[in-house]
Amino acid sequence: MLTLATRNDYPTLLDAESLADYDAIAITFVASDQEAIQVTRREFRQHVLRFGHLIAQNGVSDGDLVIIAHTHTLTSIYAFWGAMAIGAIPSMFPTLTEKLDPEIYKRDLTKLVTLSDVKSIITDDSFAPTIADLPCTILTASHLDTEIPLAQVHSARPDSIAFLQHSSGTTGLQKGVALSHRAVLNQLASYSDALAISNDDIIVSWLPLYHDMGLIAGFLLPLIQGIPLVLMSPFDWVAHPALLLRAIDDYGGTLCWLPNFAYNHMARRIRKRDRADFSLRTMRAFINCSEPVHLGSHQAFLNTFSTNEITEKHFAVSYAMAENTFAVTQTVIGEVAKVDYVNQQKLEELNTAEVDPQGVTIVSCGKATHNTAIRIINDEENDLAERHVGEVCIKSDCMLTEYYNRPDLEPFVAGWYRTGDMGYLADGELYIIGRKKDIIINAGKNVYPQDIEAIVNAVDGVHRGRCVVFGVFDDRDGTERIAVVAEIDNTIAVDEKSLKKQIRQQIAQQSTVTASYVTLVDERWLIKTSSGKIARGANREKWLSEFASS
Amino acid sequence: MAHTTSHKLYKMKFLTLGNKALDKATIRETIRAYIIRELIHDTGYDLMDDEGIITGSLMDSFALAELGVFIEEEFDVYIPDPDLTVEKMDTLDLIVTRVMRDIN
Repeated sequence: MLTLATRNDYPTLLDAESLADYDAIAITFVASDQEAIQVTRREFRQHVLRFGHLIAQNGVSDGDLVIIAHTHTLTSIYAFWGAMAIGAIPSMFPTLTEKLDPEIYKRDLTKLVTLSDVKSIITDDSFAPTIADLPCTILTASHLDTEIPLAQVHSARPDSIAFLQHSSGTTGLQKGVALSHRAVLNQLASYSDALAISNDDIIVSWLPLYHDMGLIAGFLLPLIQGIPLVLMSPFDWVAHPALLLRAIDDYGGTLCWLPNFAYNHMARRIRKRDRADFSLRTMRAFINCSEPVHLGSHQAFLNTFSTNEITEKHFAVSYAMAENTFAVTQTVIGEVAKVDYVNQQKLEELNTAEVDPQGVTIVSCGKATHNTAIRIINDEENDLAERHVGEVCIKSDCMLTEYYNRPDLEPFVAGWYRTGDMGYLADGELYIIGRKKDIIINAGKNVYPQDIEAIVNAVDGVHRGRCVVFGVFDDRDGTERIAVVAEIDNTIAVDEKSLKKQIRQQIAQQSTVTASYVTLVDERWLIKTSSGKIARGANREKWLSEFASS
Repeated sequence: MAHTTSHKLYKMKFLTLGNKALDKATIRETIRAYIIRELIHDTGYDLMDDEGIITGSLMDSFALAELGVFIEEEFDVYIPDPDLTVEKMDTLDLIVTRVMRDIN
């Protein structure tokens, strides 16, 4: 296995177990409406290298960017590895869903093709005609025939870019996080150490592959380590959350990564009949990551599934980001994650985390992994002592090489990456308080309010420039819901019901999220700052006091 | 055949859960009220019987799972996963028809 001790035996991702030629099960793909599909390592290798040949045959070579804009199936996985195997740079793009407008999806893809000089897009047969006019090669699995030979595995250099990670939204597309083979292997070695990964582990994941947690923890980690991966489509899991827990029971899952909302989703939305007949006793940990962690979400999950052999020792936490490949910290697997009780007033007014047994609860994200250093700094960039809140900065041997094709964006300041997250250290463990900038974290997705505001502002009937979007934390759901407040354009006749519907539809079709609250208000309802900008925080407070209880 | 039909009608008219008569109209209004209150979060919303709830962007697919739980708890009807899809549960008409199938 890849460990800190064996790290030097693996110069690139293509040297590890990923393309091994033997008959153990590599991936089991489960679905709510069909029998599970099992793929051995040998079959995986063949599918990957066939795809690699197809990609190479179509003019893609070493260092070219290949975008996988495909539904969440085994095909997208083979395409990703196929591109990497021939030395191209793959990147998973968010999936075209039923709710998204295909034309708007195409617009985003076009933007990416132009910005990042994409050589090829691999997509579904049904979507390929829509993007046939883009200036790059469009490939689908139907171009594969059984006679296609296996590609020769490229001999990559450790510092070559292995793949890109894009976050969602307009802003995310402009910043492809470029990761080298070396960085990814350093991350996997040190993270495997923090998790005490062994050959007995089985990873179960519903996570999207275009998200760092899904791509690294729920995909690359098991394939590189040669341990089985049980995978399902995120869309299938969202509608049928019991699928994940049944898969753990069926295949003896040991590790599973979940954003905070997923604990609430499964605690609330798995039917009694579905809860009756499975056990989670094989699990070593459910790892909460990628959203602020709420103790209440763990408790809700524990209350619902304690009869399925879950205990509080199963709840682990990690703090991670694409720019560090993935994990920055990890709590100890098999131990209860620490909970800090701090005085809320001092936290808000003095930015200090003073212990107060009656205070607010903050769940620890654990200590930094072996290869990552953490600093907490203030606005003047001075280091802060323990229990003082500041911006989290990190330095490691598994960081991004660059933002792809963006020489204008410098990710580091004197070797340190500023995360934009606010937090503090206590006894060497990291506690995250929130974000420095306005950002909504909805069901594990980073949503920039200004992206959604731009969509709402373009809806006829909304007073241009007079809308605001913010997040409202929902205890039952364990995540922020998206609220929209828009002033009505009084110069035209507006039917409020259809305007609300238009706003909801446009957001759904143009973004990865759905608005939960749409409120129309009269002119001059919104509060502006002295500089004339819509004051997001003040309007959020006003909305909460006027509308939230109704 | 005639017997089956009248038996079904009998069940439809008189089957009760608690004190609530489980006829089609009651089921429809119970689900409509639930969707408006819990899933659309807009009690003033006038939800039509044939309006696409998910395709119309009124709620996301998390709501499908939530609807599955509500239907099980409220009407003791279990809708298996392959039927709990956007295609099969997108309108109030589709949902009510599916629930009635198991109540009958």
